[in-house]
Amino acid sequence: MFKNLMAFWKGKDFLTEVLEEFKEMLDDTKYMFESVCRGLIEGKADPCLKDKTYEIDKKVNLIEKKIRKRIVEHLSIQPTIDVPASLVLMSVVKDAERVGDYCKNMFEIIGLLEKPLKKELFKELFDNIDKEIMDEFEMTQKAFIESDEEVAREILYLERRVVRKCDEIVRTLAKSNLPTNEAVCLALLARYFKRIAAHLTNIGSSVILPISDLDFFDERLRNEKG
Amino acid sequence: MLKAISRIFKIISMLFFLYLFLVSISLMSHAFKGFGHGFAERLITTTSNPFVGLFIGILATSIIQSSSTTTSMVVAFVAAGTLSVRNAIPIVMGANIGTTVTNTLVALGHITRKEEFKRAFSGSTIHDLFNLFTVAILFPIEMMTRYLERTGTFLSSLFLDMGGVRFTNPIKIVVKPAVDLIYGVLRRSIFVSEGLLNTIILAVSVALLFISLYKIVQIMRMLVIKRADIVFDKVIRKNALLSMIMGMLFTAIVQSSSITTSILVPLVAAGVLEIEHSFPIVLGANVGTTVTAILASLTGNIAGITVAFVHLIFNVTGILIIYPFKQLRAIPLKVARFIAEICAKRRILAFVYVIGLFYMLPLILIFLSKYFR
Repeated sequence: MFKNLMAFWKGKDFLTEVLEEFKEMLDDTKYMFESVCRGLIEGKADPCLKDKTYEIDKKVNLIEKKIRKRIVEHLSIQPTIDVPASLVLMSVVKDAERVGDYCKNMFEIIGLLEKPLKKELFKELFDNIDKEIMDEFEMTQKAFIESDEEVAREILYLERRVVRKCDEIVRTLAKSNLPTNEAVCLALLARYFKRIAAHLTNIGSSVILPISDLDFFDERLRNEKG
Repeated sequence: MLKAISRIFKIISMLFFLYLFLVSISLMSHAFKGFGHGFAERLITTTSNPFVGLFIGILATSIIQSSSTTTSMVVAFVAAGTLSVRNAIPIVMGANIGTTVTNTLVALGHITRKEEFKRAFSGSTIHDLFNLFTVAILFPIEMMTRYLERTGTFLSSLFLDMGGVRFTNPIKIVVKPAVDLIYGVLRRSIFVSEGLLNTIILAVSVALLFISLYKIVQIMRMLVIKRADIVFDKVIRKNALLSMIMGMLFTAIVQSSSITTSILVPLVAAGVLEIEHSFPIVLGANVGTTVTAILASLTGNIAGITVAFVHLIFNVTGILIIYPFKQLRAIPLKVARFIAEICAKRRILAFVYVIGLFYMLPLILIFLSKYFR
């Protein structure tokens, strides 16, 4: 009992603990994205991919709930400390959870495809977007955990590029003569890539945006350009 | 470095206010003694009806929203010999009920959101109900057997035998110069009758008591809140005994059960904590809050220590009677949910509950018992 109490007493403080958990969420979703992409694009599907994907998604959801609970506890005990950080975290955990959901949706495309994806076609259409999103995962983690404003700004531009490419893919697919099944699956994939990039940008841009502007990074980008 | 200096400053400030708290209790005892036999007789007559004592305890604590203040004052009364231990016991029981008004008021802050309010109100009334049930069980038992008085006296005599009073002597010695100084300054600077001088000294001591307790609570909260935040997350929902110990330690350190229980209300309201999990913390807070009276008693005599022990035994017995038994433990939980359900449907009833239970009912009953004496 005394050992337990001492262990509790020596625990980490709120922000350290929550940031560690949030980093775990980002690591998990990155792993999900990487494995699903490998299975989908390169056809190197792990036989346990389905179980792994759903299991990690469940874990990500649990961490989201845990972080939210922890924030409410913290604000009830110390209502004046870490309010902005708590509000930002409350918002970005939702984004990380959504990334997990989209990775799961990407996995479901494997089941929808009648034939495996043609590598050349994918390469031609998507032009390494998956790799750019992988870079965005890394950058998001660095920007958010280390509060790196430079990296946060780079994320904004990277996201723009991904969005433009994804929109272009959908336009190309709409005009193409590809079989319906393949066209729908590729269009969905482009859509999910775009959403994942946007959610990661929500997380990364929270470093430079005021709390009231969270999720509206595109307006910021327009203003900076304008 | 700056943090360490600030911490040291806080600890020194806390020790200063703790000293002031002890001085205020001692000063209060002196003032009560100074009022003479007439005052003592009147007070004893008024509180000789245990029901009146109980309702005085509820009303006084509901008004000042601090059982620590009420029980410390009761200890001062008893130490001065103006109140007997027997008559003090119902007041201490009443203080336990009265102190729960604070978290109920916190719950009222959630009144605009129905579901949230329902949870918040059940989270706060669980404290009221447990303390009411404990009084409902222990008050008649005490009237019939005097077990609290006997056990308190026994424990304080053990304390005496163990050299406890010798231990208290240094505190008396340390406190005495300040008490003598305040007494002397007031006597030399205000030329009034002895009775009026005692009234002024009483007012000064009450003011010092409020200020010192307020500052102790504030400083201790600042000193331990960060750790409490860390410990809290790891303990709650895991083990009832650990939760109880945490509630007890946190309350003993910050010297206010209201702080502990008021922290729980928003958590229950937000739905992140079930009342089954907040319940043991509340019970721990009931025990932890008795530390203040024990501290206050160190400046007085054996009778004061007895009252402080009575406060502790009363709360521990309440837990031992109700909490270990699933069926008994379920009663306050079910009633709290039932009351919260009704009050969430007709929110005006929440105000009726607070005003009725904590203010109107004790006031009416004190008046009636005086009228029909």
